[in-house]
Amino acid sequence: MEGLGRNRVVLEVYKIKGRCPIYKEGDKLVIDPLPNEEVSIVNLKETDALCPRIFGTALTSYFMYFEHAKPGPDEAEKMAWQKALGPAYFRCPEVGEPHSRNGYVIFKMYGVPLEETENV
Amino acid sequence: MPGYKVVLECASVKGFCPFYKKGDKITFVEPGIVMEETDAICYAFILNFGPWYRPLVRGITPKELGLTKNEEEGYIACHAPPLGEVPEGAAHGTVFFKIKQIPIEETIEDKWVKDLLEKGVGFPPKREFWPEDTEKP
Repeated sequence: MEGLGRNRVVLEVYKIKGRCPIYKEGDKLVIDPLPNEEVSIVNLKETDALCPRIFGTALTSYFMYFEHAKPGPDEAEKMAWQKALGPAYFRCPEVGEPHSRNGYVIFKMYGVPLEETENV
Repeated sequence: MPGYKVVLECASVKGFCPFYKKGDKITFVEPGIVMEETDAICYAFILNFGPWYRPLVRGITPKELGLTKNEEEGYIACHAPPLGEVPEGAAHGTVFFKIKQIPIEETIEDKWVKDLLEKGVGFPPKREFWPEDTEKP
């Protein structure tokens, strides 16, 4: 496949600590590269919820996972270690109790090769 | 137009961080970061803070934005998850910042507009001062 990359990027709710009115554990935000294009798109059909507060948090990593996530063992050997990405974890910016009402959520970000997904 | 200086002060580092220590500051005045009043810039954290930057420098309070319950100062965490909550090796610790809003009479943008007016360029800039090929890099 030509274009931005060959992986689907998934942000999965790994843990909820305290209150979150939007997500529950296991919820997903799915981003797919468009075939033969350099752009990607949020897959609304397979996304449970979009919280705008986490957009900035995940911005620095989305694009790496389109191309370099989850390499197989043979592939990993050929790749620089910086590119052989396993899952990454990040938290939302909400601090939680006692300072703020909401928060917080821990997300797991990973790539899934498009051949392994359905509906793409 | 009066605005607000927004100071993010490192309240604690719960673990390890290559950039910040307690007391370090990042200072915003519209339209950007005041380097002279900033100790370090972690790019990922700046993006993390992104959605709150403009409302805060324009005077919407941390309480209105849900960044504190009852205090004047708000709180925000960096993107790094806490040690012990994710698989070992996947976290180095979290940095917490306090958010302070300080009213100011004149922002950096105000000074820039004043300068353009004094130079006769106007604001919005008059057509005679526009460059050619404005759509091309």
